[in-house]
Parts: sequence; C-alpha cells; structure tokens
Amino acid sequence: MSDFNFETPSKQALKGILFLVFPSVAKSFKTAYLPLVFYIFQVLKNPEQYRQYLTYIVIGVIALVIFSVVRGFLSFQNFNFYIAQGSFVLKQGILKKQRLEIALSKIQNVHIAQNFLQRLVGVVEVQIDTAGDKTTEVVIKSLAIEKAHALKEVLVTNTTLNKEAQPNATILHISFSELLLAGLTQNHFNSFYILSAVIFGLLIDFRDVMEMIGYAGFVTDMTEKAASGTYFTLVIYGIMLLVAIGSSVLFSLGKVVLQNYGLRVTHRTTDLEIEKGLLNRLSYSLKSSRIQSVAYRTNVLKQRFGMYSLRFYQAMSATNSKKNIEIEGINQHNLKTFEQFVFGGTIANPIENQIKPDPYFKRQLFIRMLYLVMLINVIAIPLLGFTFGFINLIFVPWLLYLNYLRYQKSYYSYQEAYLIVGAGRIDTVTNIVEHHKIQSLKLQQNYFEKKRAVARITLYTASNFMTIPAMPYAEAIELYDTLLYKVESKGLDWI
Amino acid sequence: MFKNEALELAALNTIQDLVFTPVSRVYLYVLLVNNSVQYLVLCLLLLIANYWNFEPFMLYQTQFIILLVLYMVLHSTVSVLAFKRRKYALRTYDISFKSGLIISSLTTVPLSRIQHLDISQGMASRFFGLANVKLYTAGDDGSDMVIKGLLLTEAEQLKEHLSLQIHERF
Repeated sequence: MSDFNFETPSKQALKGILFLVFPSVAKSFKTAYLPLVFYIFQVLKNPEQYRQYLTYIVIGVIALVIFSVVRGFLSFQNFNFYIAQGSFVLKQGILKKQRLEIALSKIQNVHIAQNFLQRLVGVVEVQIDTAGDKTTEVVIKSLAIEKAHALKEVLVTNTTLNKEAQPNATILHISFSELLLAGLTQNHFNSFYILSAVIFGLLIDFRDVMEMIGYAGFVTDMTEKAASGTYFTLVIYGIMLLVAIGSSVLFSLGKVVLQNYGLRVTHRTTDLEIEKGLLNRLSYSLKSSRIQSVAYRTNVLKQRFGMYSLRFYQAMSATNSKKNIEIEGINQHNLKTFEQFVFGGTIANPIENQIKPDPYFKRQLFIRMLYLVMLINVIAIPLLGFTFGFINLIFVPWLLYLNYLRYQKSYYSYQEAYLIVGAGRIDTVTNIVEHHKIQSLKLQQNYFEKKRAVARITLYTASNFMTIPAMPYAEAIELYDTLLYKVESKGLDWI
Repeated sequence: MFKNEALELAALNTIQDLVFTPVSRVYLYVLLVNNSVQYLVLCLLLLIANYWNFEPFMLYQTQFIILLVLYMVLHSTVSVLAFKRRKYALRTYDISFKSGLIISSLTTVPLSRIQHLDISQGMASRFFGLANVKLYTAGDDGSDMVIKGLLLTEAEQLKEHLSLQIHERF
C-alpha cells in the first residue's frame, strides 16, 4: 500500500524549505531587534553622531540574514526521521545533535495540518503527540501530502503489516448552510467581550499617540462630549452599539466558518477522522480510549434548531493546542452517533436524575459577584472617572442575570458508567466523564461552606477538571466514596 | 453459582471513617524556618527600598511596616494552626491527603492512577531528616499530590510500597 519506505532516513520536503529558513531568520531578528530599535531611536535623536555606524549596521543585518539562511538550510540537512524496531526516530540539530526515540505504541495521535502558506507551496505539517510525557512532541514542518498520509498510516496503525484497507464511512458532513446557522447562533457575548477589550486597549493607545503629537485631552474631550447626554450623542451611542453588535456577530461567525469549514467526520475501525478548516486545514485521528471527557454546548438559539457544538477532551502533552477538538453544527442524531463511539452506548435525553446544588450556591455566586464589581470599580473609577459609576447600572443587573442562569444550569447526575456535570451561563454545557477516566478527586470546604455543611468536589481527568459546587456535605461524601469505588473496583485503564 | 449481589453503597468503606496519620511533628520547625526565610527576604526588600529612597516606600513607610508585621503574625499563626491538619492515609487502593485551615481540602488518588513518584528534600527538611513525597498523575497540576514532612525512612517506605503497586500493574 505504501510507496514510501520509512525504514531509511528521510528528510523533509525540499520545496518546503522556506518554512525552515524563514523561522530561522525570524528567530535571529527576534534576538537582534532590541539593539536595532535602540539604534534607530539614537539616529532619530542624534542623526549626526550615529550615521557613521550605518554601514556596520547594514553589514550586520546582511550577515544575520545569511547566517539565518545557512542555519535554516543546515537544520534541514540535519533533520532525519525513520522508523526502526518499533520506534519512530528523529535526529536533529546542527551542533547539538538530538536523537528522539518514541515507541510506536506510545504515540497517541498524529495530526496533519496545513496553513495557508503551506497550502500555497503544497506541503503539510505533521505533528506527533505522545501522552503522559509532557515534553515529547514532534513537529515535521513540511512534508509532501501523500508522504504525510503514508507516515500517519504507519504511525497510527502501529505496525507496517496490519493494513486492512477499510472503507471509510462518512458519519458526518456539515454543509455550508448548516455551518452558517451554527455561526449565527454562537454565543456572541464572548466575541463582544473580546472586541470590547481590544477596542478599549486601542483607545488607550490612541490617547497616548494623541498626547505624543500634542493633542492632549482629545479623547477626554470626546468622552465628556459624549457623556453630555444631548440628542446627538444618543445617536452616536446608538450607532456605536449597532457597530459593536454587528462586528461581534461577524467575529464569531467568521471564527466558526474559518475553523469548521468543510467539517467531515469519517469512521474507521477504532478511530474517528475529523477534517476541518478553511485556511488552516486540519485533520485529526480520534481514538475513543484517548478521549477523557466530552462536553456538549448549546444555547437558547441553538436549541431552537436542535444544534450543539461538541468538544472532545483528549489526553495529550500539556502544551498542545490540538488537545481539545471542538466541532460545530452537530444535531441530536449526530450526538447519539458520537456517544456510541465514545461510550459504547447512548445517554438518555433529557438527562435523568439531575441533582441541583444546595441553595447556598446562590449566595456564594452573589458574594463572588460583589467582589468582582468592587474590584472593577476600584480599578475603573480612578481611570475613567465617576461617569463609570453609571455603567454599574447595566453591569450589575447583567451579572445578576448571569448568576441566575449559572444556578439554573448547574446540576450533576450520577449514572452507572459516567458522571454528568451541567454548567454554563449563556451557554448550556453538559460535561460527561466516564468514571474510569477520573485521575484524582478533591473535596474542599472553606470556612463558610463548613458552617453551612456544604462542600465542593473537583474531579480531575487527564485533560481537564470539573467542579461540582455546593453539595450538602453528606451527599458529597457519598459521591466521593462511590466514585472512588467505581474507579478502583472496575480496574479499567484510563487510556 | 455466579452471584452478583447488589451493593449497599452505605456499606462501602467511607472516607469519613478513615483514620489519618499526621505528618512528622518536626515538620512544624521546617515550616517555621521556611517562613522565617521568607520574612527575612521581605524585610531585606524594605531595607533596600529604604536605602535607595524608593519613592512609594518613603511615602507610606509606616503603613508598609505595619502591613509586613501584620502579614508575619497572621501567616505564622495560620501555618501553626493549619499544621495539625496535615494528615495522610493509605488504603489498599488509594492514598489520601488532608490539609488546610481556612480552606480545608481532601485529595484522594487511586493507586492505579499514579504515573510516577519522587522524593524530594529541601534545605531545612534535610537538616531535620524529613522528606516530601510527590505523586504524579496524568492529570493537570492540581491533581498531583504532595505529602510534605514525612520522616525520611517513612517517605522511603511509602515510596517503596507505592512503586511496588505501580509496577504490579504493568
């Protein structure tokens, strides 16, 4: 099947050498940029004195570029990988030689990714993940597409012999219209928060720039005018609000479409293959045993269309961004298919035996909110003046409403094989974790919780953790004991 | 005949009835030494600030000193009172650790979830012949367990026992 021989050392694709040389150049500039910036400032301040060094600087920069190109080329030359005796071996390093050996059985996952530039050149990036070990992660920056897929095939099936070509059954394909719908029904508040923070930051930068070129007080004047409350300023505020809402919607829509364009899930013997992305095309193999927990996310709008987004939490090297895979535009029927794949059974909908937190949780949320409001006011009032006080009129009811939702959506449900933890505010989040995926348990009580005889339990899995808040103490102990019993008596491995 | 009787959950060994062993009493001295080092560093910082005429410090000199003294008193009191809460317990299938005064916490790691473990000794611990045992799980940092302040022999015994359990799995 494979036209490629991985037993002899191979290098990366030559046409992708740009991706090796360019980071090398960038790296050199990163280390050299502070002196450069310093020099430029000196020239601006004192042109006469520093101009004489210009030749040296130019020569230096050219030397740096040549050095980086050579370094990039040498690192290409010295980058070899092959498979020998059941291990993937990677040799790299120009002066400091490094040899990395990963037993094939330790390989958790192989991702093939392609960003926009890589697509232009026609190469892909291969990332090899190992679990448990928090340091080993291999990235091969540029490989020909066919070769990358052949390598993945060899690595994922763990043996070069076992190759029953199975027809890949497509179990999910999201059309563009479904994706648009998923994007439009996102929780746009998140985008709104992000954009507001960015705009606020820009505004402060803008003020600094205005001050620098001698228009001090420009922004303050504008904000004072805007706060004066005439008919005109109301219109301005209205337009600003519309722009903010519009860009928030566009932002989250764009994000969903870019990340999930052409989402396709195919089923193979033990894996799910997920392919998605518009500019960065990503492909993942998902093994059910690697999945530590699953979260469904929906909201009022999505629920109306019966739509969910689905997140798989996988066991993987700590700093890996591919750890959690989120896919959009899933319907109820698809969910059942995924449940079958991950848990080998389906979960009753609506979820049975939901147990709500103790009412004390409401008070806890309220007190936490008070702290937050206090903190924000203490920071914002000296910065923005007392006009900010009025923002509390919108801000506090909004937080109260969020707290109300948080309490409404909190529950847990203990079931035979898994624990379900409900959470979320605007979104309705359903976390599902199988008992045997639990790594450790923690039961905590602060002074007030102890007085109220409530406790919270945190469950840690190999890829995330979740907290069940404010349970009556006796109930918490019972759940703690039961979960431990389930983990310890079943003897099932977590991976 | 195969029997699969229903389990009464109440009959399970509950964590509540478990008898916890306190860590070595000598560990209190280690804590106090470590605290003193921390306070010394803070005092030194203030002295340096005084020496260099660091402006915010010069303005609020008394407040800074009161704050430092208050912190030292509170911190030491909490350390001493919380010390009694540091206890651990080993069962056939799991190990638990309790600690904390203001926020009391109980962590349990099933032995089958321990990835690896190590023994470490800080300067003060070494002087008093104590050691810390750290258990690593595959989870995030919060899921790892550190039992500080065991006698070195006790720590080594514990490590020996746990290592044996881990190796039996493979």
